[in-house]
Amino acid sequence: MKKLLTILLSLSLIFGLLPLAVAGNTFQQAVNVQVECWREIGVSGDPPTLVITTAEAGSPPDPAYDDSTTFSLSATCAGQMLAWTGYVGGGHYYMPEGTHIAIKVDPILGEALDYEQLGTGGWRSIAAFDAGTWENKRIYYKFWADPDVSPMSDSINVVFLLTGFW
Amino acid sequence: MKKFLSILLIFASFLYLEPSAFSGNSAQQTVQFAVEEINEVSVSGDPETMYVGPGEPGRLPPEVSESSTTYNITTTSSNKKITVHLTQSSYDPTLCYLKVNLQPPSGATSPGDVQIPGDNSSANVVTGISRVSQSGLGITYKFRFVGLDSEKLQQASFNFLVNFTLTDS
Amino acid sequence: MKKLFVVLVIGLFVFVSGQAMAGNTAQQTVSFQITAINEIAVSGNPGQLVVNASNAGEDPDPATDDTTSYSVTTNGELKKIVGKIDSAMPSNTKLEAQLAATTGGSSAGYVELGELDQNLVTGISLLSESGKTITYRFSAQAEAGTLSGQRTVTFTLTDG
Repeated sequence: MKKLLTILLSLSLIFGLLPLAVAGNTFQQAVNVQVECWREIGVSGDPPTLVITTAEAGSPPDPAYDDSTTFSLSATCAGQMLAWTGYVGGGHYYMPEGTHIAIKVDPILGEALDYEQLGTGGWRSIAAFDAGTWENKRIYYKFWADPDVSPMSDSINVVFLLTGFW
Repeated sequence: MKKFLSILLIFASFLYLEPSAFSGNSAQQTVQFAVEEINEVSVSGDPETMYVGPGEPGRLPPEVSESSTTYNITTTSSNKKITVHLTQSSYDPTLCYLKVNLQPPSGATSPGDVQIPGDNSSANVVTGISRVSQSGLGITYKFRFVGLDSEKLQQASFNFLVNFTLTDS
Repeated sequence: MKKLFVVLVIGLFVFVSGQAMAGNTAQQTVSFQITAINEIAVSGNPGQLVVNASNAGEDPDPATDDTTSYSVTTNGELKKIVGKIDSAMPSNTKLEAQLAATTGGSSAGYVELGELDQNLVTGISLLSESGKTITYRFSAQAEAGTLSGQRTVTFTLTDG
């Protein structure tokens, strides 16, 4: 009886360990696909120059607006869209004295957010998203100046960053 | 007389039972042979992991592919086919696809890239296989998202168990 | 006169009967010979050779049989055993035979059998041996498909 049990146990171990070795007319493969978490953004180009040219007497100059540019976004994981601004080539993140710029975008998830002022330090969150793809979402700029700012022209860099939630 | 007949009978029976033993300088044997139905397939191993990387902004990520494995086949039958189906796994075809392309053996036909059904149903990947033995035939997998939906994209990896069967057409 | 007659008669008997009356010895001429003996026999028919297994990607595994044997007796020198089949094998198949060598002889190993005689064992001289193994090997490529058949194999002991 002992011998028989030993033989039966050995046979079950052999056939249990070597299923694929006796495949005959079938074979199997384990196929693995890994989805990395990534987020990609692109913009349609630079907006035209935001020009302050008019004012009502007794009121600060009228702001200048632009909504001619768009962004497209793809992501395999959720996150947020941040914006930051600073001088071109510079390490500063403030606008020239007395000038201000704000940005908002078409919403991806949830309600539209109001303008976020840039150039006052740090990143500003302007949109949240999930895994998905979005094309040609509009970018809105608002530029305004204090009344005591002399005529001037300058340019700044606006950087968009897709990242996870902090 | 009886003795004589007995001896004669014994002698005659030897002649009947052992004809070849008495053939002189030649002897004969009847050799019977047969080839039975043989259907064998095997594979070189599992493919490498496919990594879905970044795509163009606003666009779904590009298709990824893998073609490092091969299969071997021997069949003495005619008009066989290889079918494919998933076992112990599935996927939502509104989210992604998994395709496979098997290089056909000589004389057989492959329809090219075949989408492996996301449920457990089968699809033909090679047809018209007849009386052939060939090894090292290529297997190519392709994976791509057809929609990105956080609700459906519940996992960071997909594991499929793909079964191939050599069967009658 | 009588005595002379008896002597003459006795002498006549001696003349007529020559040797029989040679005295106390006699002779005979005895002729004998050994003819050429070349005998070969087999123990029976082998079992059916069935090809039914393969590793994927390779031609099917051959089938072999070594259950039969041959016996040979010859008083000649440098004889050989040749073999052939009665008709060609099906396409993509072959039948080979290997005969064990006799003492002092040489086996050609596995020899593919065809409709013409092929040397199987050579250098057979002056012996009588039995139970020499005959091994058959039947092989088929996948292209042969499924089939069955039989062939008559003839072994002949002949001059080398």
